[in-house]
Amino acid sequence: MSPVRLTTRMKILAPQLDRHVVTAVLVTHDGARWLPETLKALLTQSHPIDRLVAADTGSTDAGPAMLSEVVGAGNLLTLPAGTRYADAIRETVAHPASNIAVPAPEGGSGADRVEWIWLLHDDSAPAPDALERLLRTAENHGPAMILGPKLRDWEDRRVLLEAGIAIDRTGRRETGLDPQEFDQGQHDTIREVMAVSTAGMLVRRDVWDELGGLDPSFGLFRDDVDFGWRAYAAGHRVLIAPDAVVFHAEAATRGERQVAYSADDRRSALLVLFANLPLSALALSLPFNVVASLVRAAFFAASRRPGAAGGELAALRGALFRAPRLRRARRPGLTASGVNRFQPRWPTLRRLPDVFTGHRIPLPSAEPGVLARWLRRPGVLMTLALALVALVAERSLLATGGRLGGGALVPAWGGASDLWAEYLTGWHPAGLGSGTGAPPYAGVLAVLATPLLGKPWLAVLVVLLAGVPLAGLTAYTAARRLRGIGVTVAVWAGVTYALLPVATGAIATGRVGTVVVLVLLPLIGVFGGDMLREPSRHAAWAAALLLTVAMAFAPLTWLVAVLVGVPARYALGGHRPYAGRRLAIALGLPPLLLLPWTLRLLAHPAEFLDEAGLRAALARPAAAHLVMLSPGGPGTPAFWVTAGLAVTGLAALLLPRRRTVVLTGWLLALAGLLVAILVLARPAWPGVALTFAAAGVVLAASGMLRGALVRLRAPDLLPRAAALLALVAAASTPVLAAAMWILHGVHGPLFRPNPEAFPLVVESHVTKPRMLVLSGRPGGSVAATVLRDRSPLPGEESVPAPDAARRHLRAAVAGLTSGTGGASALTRLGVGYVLVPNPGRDPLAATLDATPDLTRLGRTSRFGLWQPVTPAGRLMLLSGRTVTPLAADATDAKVRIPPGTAGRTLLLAEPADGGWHATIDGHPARARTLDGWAQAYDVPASGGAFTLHRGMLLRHLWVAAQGLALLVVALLALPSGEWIERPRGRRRRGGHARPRDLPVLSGAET
Amino acid sequence: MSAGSAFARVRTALGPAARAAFRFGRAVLRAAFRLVRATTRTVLAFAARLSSAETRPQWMNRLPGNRFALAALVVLALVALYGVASFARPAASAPRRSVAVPVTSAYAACPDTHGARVSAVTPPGSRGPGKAWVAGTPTVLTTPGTSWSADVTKNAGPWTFGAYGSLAPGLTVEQTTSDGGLAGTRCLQPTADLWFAGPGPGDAHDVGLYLTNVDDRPVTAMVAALSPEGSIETPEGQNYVQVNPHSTRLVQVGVQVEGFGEAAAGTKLIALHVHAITGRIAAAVRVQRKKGADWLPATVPGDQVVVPGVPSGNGHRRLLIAVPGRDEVGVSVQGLSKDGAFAPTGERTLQAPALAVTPFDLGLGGKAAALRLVSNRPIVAAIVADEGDDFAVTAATPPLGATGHGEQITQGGGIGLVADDRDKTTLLLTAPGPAAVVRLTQIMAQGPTGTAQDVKVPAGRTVEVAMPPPAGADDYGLTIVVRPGSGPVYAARLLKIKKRGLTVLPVPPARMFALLPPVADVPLP
Repeated sequence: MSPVRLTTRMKILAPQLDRHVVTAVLVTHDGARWLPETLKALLTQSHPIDRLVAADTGSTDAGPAMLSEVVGAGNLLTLPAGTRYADAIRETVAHPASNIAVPAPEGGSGADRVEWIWLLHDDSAPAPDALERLLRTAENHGPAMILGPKLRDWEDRRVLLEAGIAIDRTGRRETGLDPQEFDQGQHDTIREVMAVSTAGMLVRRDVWDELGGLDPSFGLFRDDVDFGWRAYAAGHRVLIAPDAVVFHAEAATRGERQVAYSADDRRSALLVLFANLPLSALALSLPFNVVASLVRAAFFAASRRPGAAGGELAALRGALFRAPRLRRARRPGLTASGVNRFQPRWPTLRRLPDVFTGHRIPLPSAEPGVLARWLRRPGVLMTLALALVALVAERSLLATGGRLGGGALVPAWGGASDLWAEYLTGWHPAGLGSGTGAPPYAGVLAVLATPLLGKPWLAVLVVLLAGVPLAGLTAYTAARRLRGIGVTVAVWAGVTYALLPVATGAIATGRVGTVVVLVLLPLIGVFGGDMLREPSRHAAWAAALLLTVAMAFAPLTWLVAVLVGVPARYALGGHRPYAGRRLAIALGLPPLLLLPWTLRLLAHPAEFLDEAGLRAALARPAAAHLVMLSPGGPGTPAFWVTAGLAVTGLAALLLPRRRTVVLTGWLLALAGLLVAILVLARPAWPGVALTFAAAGVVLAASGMLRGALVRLRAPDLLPRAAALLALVAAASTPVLAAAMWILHGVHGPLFRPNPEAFPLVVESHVTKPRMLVLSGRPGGSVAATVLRDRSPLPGEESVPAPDAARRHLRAAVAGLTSGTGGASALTRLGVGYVLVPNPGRDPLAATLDATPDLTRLGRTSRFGLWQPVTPAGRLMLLSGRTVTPLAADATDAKVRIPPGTAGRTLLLAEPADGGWHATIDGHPARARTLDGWAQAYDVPASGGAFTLHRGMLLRHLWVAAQGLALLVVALLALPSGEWIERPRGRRRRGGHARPRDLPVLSGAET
Repeated sequence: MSAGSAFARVRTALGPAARAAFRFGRAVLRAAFRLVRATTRTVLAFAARLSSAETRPQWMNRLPGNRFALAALVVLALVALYGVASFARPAASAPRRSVAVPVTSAYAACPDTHGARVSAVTPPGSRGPGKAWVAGTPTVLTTPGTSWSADVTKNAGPWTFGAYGSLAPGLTVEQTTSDGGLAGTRCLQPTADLWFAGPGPGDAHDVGLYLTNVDDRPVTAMVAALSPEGSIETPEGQNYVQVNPHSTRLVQVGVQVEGFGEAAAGTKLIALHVHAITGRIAAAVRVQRKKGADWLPATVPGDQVVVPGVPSGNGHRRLLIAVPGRDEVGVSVQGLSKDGAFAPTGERTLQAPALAVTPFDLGLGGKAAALRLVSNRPIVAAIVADEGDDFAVTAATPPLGATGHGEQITQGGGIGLVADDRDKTTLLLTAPGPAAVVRLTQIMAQGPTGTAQDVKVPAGRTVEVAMPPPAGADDYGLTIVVRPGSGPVYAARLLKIKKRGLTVLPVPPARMFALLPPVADVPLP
């Protein structure tokens, strides 16, 4: 074999470079795509390569042929498939072709010759002057033994991939660069780095031999980092030469090359650490990484990626198993301490921004900023526009300055902690008292309020304000998932859906439940569709989770979902055997997750029609309004606003294409309308049913709009005119709805509640008397409310006292207001004050004035306040006709009962539901029920220390189980499966699938 | 087998007619069963035919593919939903009705029983235990539907009747004094607002306002007075009178400071308004002239009122209209006598000045009559009838109506009760609207007499009914029940005893029921 001089060009380089002899080592595997350019780049280097040796590891493409033609058959090693990169390099370097003598240049002596090895991949093409600059840097910067070029992207040659690499304390590879960072010279300093990639790494041959080349223990990954580390350990330096550029395709990382099991990467990373760290550092790193690996494995297992979890454990095991041998060979503790200056600190924190900017966003090539690119997405633009419309339209709500009440909305007094306490507690000291569990929407509200500065009112305001834009976003997302809908139609669907009369009406009347359902329904639909399509079951869990939240706010959602879902399973998913199981998960789980509350729903089925909040005044929409999807009442526009939508939806029925979408939409619409009519007959708010119906009509209409868009460019006039007409009709609905909403604003029953509307301070007495608020209503009826020392929280409106107690209250109030009974019945309800708002307008004030055993305490224009002659409290000692209130806490009590006569009774003005535990002097008190509802205890003549306690263990257990179940379902609902097995990232044009064979090329590709 | 033998036994046990009935019933049952079975089979067969593509009509198979047919179907469904929505729309959730319950306790405060005959009566019909009593005397009544009366000679003074249970509904107590002119009044249930109109201190020897507090706590009453010249002011501004628990306070109008002192001393006519600031109060006003006396009947303002019970006779009749409001009121007056409606005053419309009590002379032609007054604002109306030395005062009262249902109470119905009747009792019944039939039943101490008298009151007329005394007694109670199908009836009792004078008592509906309003317990006020 003859020495390979590949070029005989005149040397115009600086003469001292002539003493460098460079052996380029190229390893290929199925790299025919990149090979021509790589080879061309190698052959046209400004500093000629002295020897070029290539190795092919079982390629099945045209690569070997190409190589042998260029480098000559003698310079091509053919290795079996499956040879590791490190081994391939080792073989190649040891090959005779790499050791052929190179004649000394003219005028130079052979004595100062330096031998170099230049490692290259088949998908890395050096710039023409890359080698020259590498050598120049080597020449100018002292005893650098290992040099690396700057790596830029193969396709987009401005994108910087690497300029030196490091490994952090968790084993993660760290380049110090942002994803998709453009090279503007910002990293162009010649500096020491921990390691350089094997793509373009230039190593002095003697150092290479001293270090023993790359370590094959690392398999695919991290051999470069290990090599750098060992170089430092041996007292050498690794330099980055940023003026030398190599363009790298990173084929293995991006999935264009099938690589073997991904856990290799993790194992190699751990192995690098375990093999090279000095003993003192290892003592910290080892337990830390073991725990981190176990946590990761647990997370993978929880998110149902058992492969990934197993891989993680296998990687840990492999690293632990192999590290001792490597350490024995290297004795790292003596020399390796200089490396840790390259290790980034707080790697997880530093990576945090990446999580949000996201590696996976496909970035268009020309935009500079992440934010600007994000803002240009149509979905984002639409959401922002909707947010603007909502802000302008809901200006009156903003003007009230925060906390809202009225309509169906219970003013959210207190903080998130109060809501949490309310949800957790087994006893609600509100009204007459109730042991019923709080409705689950209070828990959801607490979850929402906690990050919002702990302010539930802010959570309510955010739901009301952000409901419309969020509904638009979810509807847009759902529409994008429909095949062949297109962005424009999806935006139309989003805007139309978000501005439905149901949405504006629900906001105006403070019906948070409908707003939440409006936002969640498209997502539930998306996951419902995924349930039928995707191989993984996570969509079913996700649908179940969302349906749970929606049901918590409006239980009717679940009923309609069952009504729609069961037929849909047979109509759309009939041939899929798993559809039934998934449907069972999605529909069966919500009632189970909300369990203590579901039982109450089943016991009182009418409550299925109620929503979060109060039963607000109901408008009775005319039939035309209802058919036009309007629930009527405040905030709903004129009924013809949605005419365009209806017309478009009906026209869609006449199109021959997209029959499934259109028919599904209409069936949904008809079912929703039917349910809405039935709900109205109850009567109850038909918002949820109308939301389903409206979603159906929007779905049907969007099925046809795409066709109309296409036909706008039809050659004939008639289809063009028809398409234009349809588009105008469709566009009229959102435009008109937005205009009317902005014009009219939110005029409804919402107002800013006055925290001092009721002088509840008078109740902060140690005996905890209650206040009875009475107000006359049209038609002669009377509304009665028992208040304790604070206004009711959201959720407490749905925990009524037992019926017996309520009957007793109603009878007492009827007796009081009709003049037949006095105030003594109130005393036994614990009522110490009677209040009538607006006494000037309410005839009840005169009635109360005329009641002999009520004393008027005061009267202003806002309220009149009376006090029964007999004092009252939460805990009262009844001795004959004498009533003595005793001190009590909000729930429990501890009080000393004075001795007295026998036959005394201790009346606890709370419903006797078996949940109270009382002792007198440590002995259980004899309990009985007084007045048919109240808890009472017999008091011995000697009196004694009375303690009262409410058992809440059961409720706490329920809530804990519920939280745990929700957590598990949430984990199961996470998208599962892909770790590195199916890499996400850019797919290049022309990328072709390859059989799953063993990897060869790797290097620093992670 | 055993079933068959049981049938046989049943058959033999029944007579032939019963057997035939049994057979007929069996045949009917069998036919019904067959009909149901046939229908079910037909429906099932039809469903089976439709469910298979081979057997169902061809056009049905083509339907899903035919987009026009589907569009038509959807439109049809929408129209059907529209129809359902427009017809099945529920009425607004019907407001719950008030419930009428019999009152369970009643009080009646007789202001001054000195030398009076005190009579009490309750209507028959109530059930259950009950009792009516006066403090210091044995139990007065124990059975509903009985009457009681006593001429008070000792322990005179204010008497307060109490009743509970079955004796409370409709408890009616009256007191009638006859010294210095016949004067009777109803012993009032305590309440918050009462109006009186009649001769003032300038036209009388003594005008006494009796305020009774039957409860355990002191009551403060505000007393306001109107004279023909306008509102009577006291130096202190508003005039408050405190009444101690379980006591009666007498305020001499025109004499005491609480009775407006000198400011009211000269007024010939007076209208008094008693308002309990807190609690409730029973009030009565006695006007004593040199000769003749009467109690002023309590009334309340209204804008369509009827004053019943103007006695026949040639004495002076004066209509007093007191206007509590701050605007002048136009009042149209119509007289209703046994001959029909007539105009008792010169003008059709009277103008009554604001915040004053104004007299209008009436020309009734000596006939017994009632007056119907319609005004644009609330007024208080009373009539002073001078007859010989004595005088009588009657005032507007609510009508009696057909009873039987609690809900009618809301429209001012109910039966009338008169406790003090003697052989000189005359009832004046007026039906301003449709004709009415009124059943009068006398109630003795032992209970109702067996006979009842039905009286027809023609539409728009007044009828005088002289009640014959039942055998063996000259004092009895009376129930006035308006028969179903009748219009409202206004009633008054006239008691006219020679040498003693006369007194008139308007008869309001007895307080039988209390209306319990529907109560909603709402979680948030």
